[in-house]
Amino acid sequence: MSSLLLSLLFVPLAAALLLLVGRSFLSQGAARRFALAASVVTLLLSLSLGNEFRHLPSGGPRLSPVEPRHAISYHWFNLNHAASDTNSAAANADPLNFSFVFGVDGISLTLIVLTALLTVSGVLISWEAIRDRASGFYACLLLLEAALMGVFMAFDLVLFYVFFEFTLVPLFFMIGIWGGPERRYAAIKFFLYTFAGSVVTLLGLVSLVLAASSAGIATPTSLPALARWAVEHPLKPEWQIALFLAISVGFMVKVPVFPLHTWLPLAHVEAPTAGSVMLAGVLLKLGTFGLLRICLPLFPHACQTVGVPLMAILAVAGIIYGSLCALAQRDIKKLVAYSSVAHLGFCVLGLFALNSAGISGGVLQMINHGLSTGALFLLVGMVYDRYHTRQLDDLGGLAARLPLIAAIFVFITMSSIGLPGLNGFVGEYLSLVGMFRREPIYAVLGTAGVVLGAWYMLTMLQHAFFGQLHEPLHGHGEPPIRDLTFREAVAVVPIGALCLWIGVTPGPLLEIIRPDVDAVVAVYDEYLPPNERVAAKRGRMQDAVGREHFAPAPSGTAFIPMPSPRAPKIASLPHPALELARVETPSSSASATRLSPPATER
Amino acid sequence: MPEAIAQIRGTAGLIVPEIILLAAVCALFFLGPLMVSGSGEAPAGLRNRWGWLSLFALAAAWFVWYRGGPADVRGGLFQLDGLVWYARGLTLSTGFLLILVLWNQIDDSHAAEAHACLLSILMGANLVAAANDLIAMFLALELVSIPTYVLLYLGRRDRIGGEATLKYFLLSIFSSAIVLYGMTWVYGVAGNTNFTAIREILAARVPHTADGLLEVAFALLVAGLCFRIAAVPFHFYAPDVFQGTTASNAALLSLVPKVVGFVALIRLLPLASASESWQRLLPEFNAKLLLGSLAVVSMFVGNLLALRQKHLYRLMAYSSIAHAGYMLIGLTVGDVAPVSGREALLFYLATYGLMTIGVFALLHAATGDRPPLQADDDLRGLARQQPMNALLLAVCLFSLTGLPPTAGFLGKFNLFLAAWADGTMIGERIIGHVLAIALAINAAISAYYYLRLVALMFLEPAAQPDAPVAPLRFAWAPWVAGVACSLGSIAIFIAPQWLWDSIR
Amino acid sequence: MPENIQYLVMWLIPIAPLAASVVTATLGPRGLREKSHLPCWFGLAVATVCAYVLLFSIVPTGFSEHGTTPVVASGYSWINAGGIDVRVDLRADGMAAIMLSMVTAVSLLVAVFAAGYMHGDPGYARFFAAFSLFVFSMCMLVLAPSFLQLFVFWEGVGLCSYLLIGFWFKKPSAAAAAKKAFVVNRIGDFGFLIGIFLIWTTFHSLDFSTVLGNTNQLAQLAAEQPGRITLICLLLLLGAMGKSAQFPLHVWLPDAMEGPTPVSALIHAATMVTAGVYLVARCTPLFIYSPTAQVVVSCIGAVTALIAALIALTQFDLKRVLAYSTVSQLGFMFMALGAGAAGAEAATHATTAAMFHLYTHAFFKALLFLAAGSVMHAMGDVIDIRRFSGLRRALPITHWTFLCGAAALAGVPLLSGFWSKDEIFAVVYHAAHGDHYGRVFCIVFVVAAFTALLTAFYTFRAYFLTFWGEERFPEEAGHHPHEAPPVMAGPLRLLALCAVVIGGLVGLTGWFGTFLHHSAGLAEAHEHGLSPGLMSLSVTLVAIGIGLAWWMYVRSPELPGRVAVALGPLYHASLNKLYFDEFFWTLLVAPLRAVAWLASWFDRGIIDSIVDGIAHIPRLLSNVPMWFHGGRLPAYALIMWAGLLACLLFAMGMLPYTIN
Repeated sequence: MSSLLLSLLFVPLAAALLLLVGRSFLSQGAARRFALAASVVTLLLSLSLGNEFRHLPSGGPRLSPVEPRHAISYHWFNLNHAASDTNSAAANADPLNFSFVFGVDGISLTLIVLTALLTVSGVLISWEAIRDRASGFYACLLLLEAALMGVFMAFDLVLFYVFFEFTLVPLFFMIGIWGGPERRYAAIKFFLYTFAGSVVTLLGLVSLVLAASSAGIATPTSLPALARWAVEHPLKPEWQIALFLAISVGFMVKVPVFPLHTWLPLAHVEAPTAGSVMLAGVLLKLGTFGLLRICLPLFPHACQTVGVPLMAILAVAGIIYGSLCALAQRDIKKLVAYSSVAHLGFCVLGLFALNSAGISGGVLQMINHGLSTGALFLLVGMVYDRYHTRQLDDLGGLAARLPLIAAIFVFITMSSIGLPGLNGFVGEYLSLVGMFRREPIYAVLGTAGVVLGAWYMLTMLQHAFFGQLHEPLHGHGEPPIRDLTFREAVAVVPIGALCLWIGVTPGPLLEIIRPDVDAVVAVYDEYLPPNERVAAKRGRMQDAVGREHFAPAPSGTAFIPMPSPRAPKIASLPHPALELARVETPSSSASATRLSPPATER
Repeated sequence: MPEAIAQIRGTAGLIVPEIILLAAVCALFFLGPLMVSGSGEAPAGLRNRWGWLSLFALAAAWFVWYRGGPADVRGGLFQLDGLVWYARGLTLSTGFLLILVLWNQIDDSHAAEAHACLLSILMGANLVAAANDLIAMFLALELVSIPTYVLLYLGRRDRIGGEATLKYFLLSIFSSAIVLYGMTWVYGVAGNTNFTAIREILAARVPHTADGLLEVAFALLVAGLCFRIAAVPFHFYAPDVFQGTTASNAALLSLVPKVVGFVALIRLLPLASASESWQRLLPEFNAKLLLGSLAVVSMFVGNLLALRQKHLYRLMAYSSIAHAGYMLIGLTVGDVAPVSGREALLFYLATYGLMTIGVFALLHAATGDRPPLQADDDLRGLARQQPMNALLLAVCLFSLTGLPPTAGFLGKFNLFLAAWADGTMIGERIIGHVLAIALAINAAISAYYYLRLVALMFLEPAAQPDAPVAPLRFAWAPWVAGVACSLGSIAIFIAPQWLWDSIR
Repeated sequence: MPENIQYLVMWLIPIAPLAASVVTATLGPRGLREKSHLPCWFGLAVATVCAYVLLFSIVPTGFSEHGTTPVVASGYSWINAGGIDVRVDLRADGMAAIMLSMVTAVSLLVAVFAAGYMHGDPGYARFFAAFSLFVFSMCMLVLAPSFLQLFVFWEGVGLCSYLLIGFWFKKPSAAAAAKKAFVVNRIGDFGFLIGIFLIWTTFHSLDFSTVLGNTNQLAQLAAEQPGRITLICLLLLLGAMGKSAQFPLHVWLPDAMEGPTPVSALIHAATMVTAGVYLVARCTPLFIYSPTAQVVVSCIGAVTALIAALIALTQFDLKRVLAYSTVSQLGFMFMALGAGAAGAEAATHATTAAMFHLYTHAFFKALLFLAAGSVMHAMGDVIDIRRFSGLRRALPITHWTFLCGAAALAGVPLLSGFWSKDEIFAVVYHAAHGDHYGRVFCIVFVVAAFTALLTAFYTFRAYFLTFWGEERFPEEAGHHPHEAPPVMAGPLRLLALCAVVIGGLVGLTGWFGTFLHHSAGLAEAHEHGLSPGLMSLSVTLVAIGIGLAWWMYVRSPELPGRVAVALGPLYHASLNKLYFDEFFWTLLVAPLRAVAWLASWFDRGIIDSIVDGIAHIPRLLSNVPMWFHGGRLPAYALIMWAGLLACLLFAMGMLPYTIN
């Protein structure tokens, strides 16, 4: 297991380094074959990680809202402050230990597999498109993969930040070297914008680490330890808010949340196809992943008081504004880029519902957006490879010339606009329903984005693929336009299959992330500050009463807080809501004749 | 008499590495001219011989240092403690790199003198750390300054080089005078030149008797030594001198004076504030405010001006000013914080050495014996012509930006920690927080110009793709130094513990 | 029937079309080609048989009993997260079974017809794949046990309609129509989805059994929070309005004519538009507690019926006439659905009437569309009724079957439409005498009567213009138009038979009403007999309508032109579909486009400029220190002096702002 985890990091890394070193004597063909082999190996490794993962104990009492199911830790360094001045109080302080903690939980597992899958597609789609310095390109791609794996495996704040930042470098080169005409401006803007944002995040992280350290946490950068500490000794509200705001700035830029999104359309339009796929598919998730991993479990008060209104308003604004902007675009890639702004709005909306429906939806939406938007970029890339244009004004009726690509395009579009039965819907639905439970108005506004989403995506389809065939002039020397090639099919069909699979049976996926989502949600159930605990208690009692009256279905159990891993604390605190909920648990069975035993919540 | 001999032997025993270097310096100075004819003609490849000789001497000194290990001896002229050990290690280790960078930059006829100057600069830097006496300290400082003038002159003997040397010479003398003046104020208060004695005298005196005098000393020492570290507003020489000198001299100037300056500040400031350590700088708050303001101003001025530079060396000079500002944060924060600013500063010095020497070494390696890369346009398309050089240079530049996974990130991260953790009183906390925030803003600003260089190398086509490129003579020495620097900065990121251990 | 077999039968109903769809989609283009219709036929046949087996197995012991438990065939857990446990199950009760019997049978007939109609089309396999998928979605929709599953296949139906309306994607109008259908439907879905959220937060469940089955709970909730129930109902109604093409979301349906004619038949008769009616009927237990919502339903139905009928009066596109007649008839159904405000029993009657009309309408509307398709087939795809006439001799089968359908639609006595429309009159009439919003229902009733008159008129206008008068063919048809081949004629005959007899069979026996009692949540009601007064009214209206049409289009064909001139603007308004498309364009689409353009500009011009501006600040600031770096040594020395002085002042605490 441990070696599997590390190999996920080091296989792409080593392959990238080999490609870099062997740049001069590797031909384009050799480089791409090597990159393909490396990425496929990584994918297989990630799948076998998933296989191993099933054998890990998932349940059991959790000590912390963020806890890897399996982790490896390496000592990095410690700031053991042996001051020359022995009188200094600091001399007696605990050493500040820094370690690398690699781990995996359900949420990161899914994102790891997603990363590995999209990298394979990225290699395949670049097969012909990247001719210049191919070796370097694949090295960047694999380096990016390694960095992303690192982010998802990091259970340590500093390690997380390190990989989070490092993703900038390979993507900067990918956009800047192999991008479109304005690639330099786009690459520099992308880099500086996200770098500036994440510097603020670093400030926040530093002060968080120091606060934890001065509270006597021996490993103040370890996420599980921090989260546990934050639960047991909630930070002062104003501190929470300040830290939350500081830390989320970098993530908000990365997501990107309106109005910090303007780097994104530019970067997407200029990036090579594989770059766009990785950017949209995985990189944007770093922002939401960061929010989920760091902000949600550590700053419950801030998330509730400031986070919900702020992030939800920005998310809704992003959904509607992004959709409107997408509607006005004439460049397909830009349109898809703006649609990302809208889709990630749903994701943020779900996360800040702060209940398990919403957070599950948010996580699912991360994966779904990765799959469907990744696939959309692949398809746009295929069209671009054939016609060297992405302008809607230059294209039309392509379904007649490229029926298979058109069919897959329609399929992925449907997944992207959240057609039930495909993956997009499940995530959007859970996100929205979660938010509806917390603040209905945001969910209602967000739902309006569903209408707009259908409109702009279908308008794009209509213009590009339907109607009279209208192609750019085709040069004599160029090869004839062919429909989907086998290589392209291998790149995109698995993603499509996954879209369908997740749409039809999201159960296994939800099952994988459930313990981790519930652990985060438990923070909001159980560990509220005293003044809010009263309100929450009241709310829960209403729920309980409501269920008694209306809902005999076993599904109501979500409102029952997790059994506490730390019984003594609960015992010391009178917790009537908990008692009430526990009494409630064996609620009556469903009234309809159900042939299967009623599903239990946990 | 035997007593005196014993004393000399005891003192000399403390500075064995420096004595080895001194021997090499003497040898170079004496033997060097013998190999060169009267008209200045030297056998081809002579520089290699001198280079190997100084490398060998340095290796010997390094070995002695390494075998010696950290010791704690307080005595007369010199002392040994952790700081000495670390500073020696730092200068001796970077000395290898500097020699390698110098290797091809000097013509055969002047190689002996140049290497001798370099070695004596390193020796002086070590003695600054080891000095336990105001006189010794001042002499050591001059042992750094004077060979630097020569080296600057030897490096480039055209009009611009002359102007640079002259500027450096005049302003340096000026700053030395200020330092000396500051030392006399300390002496005036304490009546002794030995650090140990001064400390005892000042500790024993009636509190607050001579505070005003010490404050003057404090200000003078800060002002004088800030010249060495190129902090604003004592930085003016840096851009002009960097622009007018060679890569090896620029590399030297960007690092060694900083080491010297910071080590001297660490030694002298507690004296001037009559305290054992950083805990009670006198008057505490003002001292912090002074150092903090210098830090903030240096960061901003350095970075803002670097934004607009077209000349690479000049840009690196401003970057060096900005980095002086970063490191001053460590000095401001001192030892009080839970995370020691002094240690963060020393850590940063080492990482900064790697990054900046790496940049100059690679800029040099990229051209070999052709005219050096100086204008930023020269970098255009470097990635196509010399991909490996460009890659390594990019690593160094990212390290300067403070991007993981490079040592530069760790350096800034530690400074962040130290600054943010600083202080127990509200005022101190505010200073610490302001410093950290300023650091954050500057990290973002500086990213622009470092990134611009990377973009020039990787994203732009070559300036004149059709121009016939003369076959490049591979300059192995600076290349080795560059590789060592960029790989080293990654290595330090991955395994920083040994560096921390050696700082303590 | 043993339970296991019943479950198997239930699962077969959706699975068979799905399998057919998958087989056709994968094998079709390469393997099956010309035979691509076979899997579809087979799948639909299996589904039809199973649907009837199910229908008769649900009520095994006679019609009089009440309260049969719905049969639930278990599937799997779909979404289970955060207290939401949505399963994919199949749940059948009386209403679902009736719907299924209609959906599968009509679809099967349409599929048979389509094999002839679509013969030789390059997208033959694609057509049948989407067709089967359409039926699958509709079956799953009808069999849904929960709101969410219903929504899922509600959208699935939308997708299939998108694929089929845009089947001839090379026609720009078809592509536009497909998009329009989907997007307009999405507006309705927006309401539906929020309704689902609200249901979930209110009931903590989405199962019909939990939400609708527990009348005590509903009554209590209605007493406590009447507003909430109304809100839920109105949101669901918004969804239904989208799918069932109610005013003002009806604009997509006439455009949906761009699809192949069998698709129109399928959409208009069996599958898509009925979904909205089915949803509201399904939620009757909820609507009972909100008279306000009910009257809104009725009013929307009335407005829709009237408007669509008015537009249908002047259309020259045969399929468009039929399309607007569909909208109008759906309006009738909604009128009926809303007319149950008087109480549980009235609601049952209202629902029964609506479902009955839905049922009969499916047959005769499918018939009409297929007949129109047969006309098109013969006329070389020309459908403008001004370009041909007098087809009754050339196309006898088409003529007779079309006549059956038209008569049924118009409500000619003893045909299907007559019975079901009569029931609608009856429930609206009763509602007009009820306590809740009686006056409103009076108006609704008048509208219904007037619309019935218009219906008879425009239906027979189309009929007379097409099949009477001198024999004229467009040149596209060639000189000798051919009658439909047997594969097309067969379904026409069968449907014609149904259109004639089914209403009588079902209506006279009262079978429908009793059957619907077996739907969960509907109260038991007693058949309130036939009302001679209402019947005579409707007969009179039909007679006037048909007579008028005959007079105007057969007896004195120059009359319509004169009337058109006389009415002037009114005529043009009707001809231009009351300017609804233009209205939507100027009020919704164009402003949104403008806002989108503005947003896009704002993004580049303002937000991004601010970002760039902020990035530019350091560069501007750098002018300040730049000033000191002139390169002159004395200046440097001077500034260093000044710095030293500042340090001294600072350290000595002599600067004003230092704190000691």
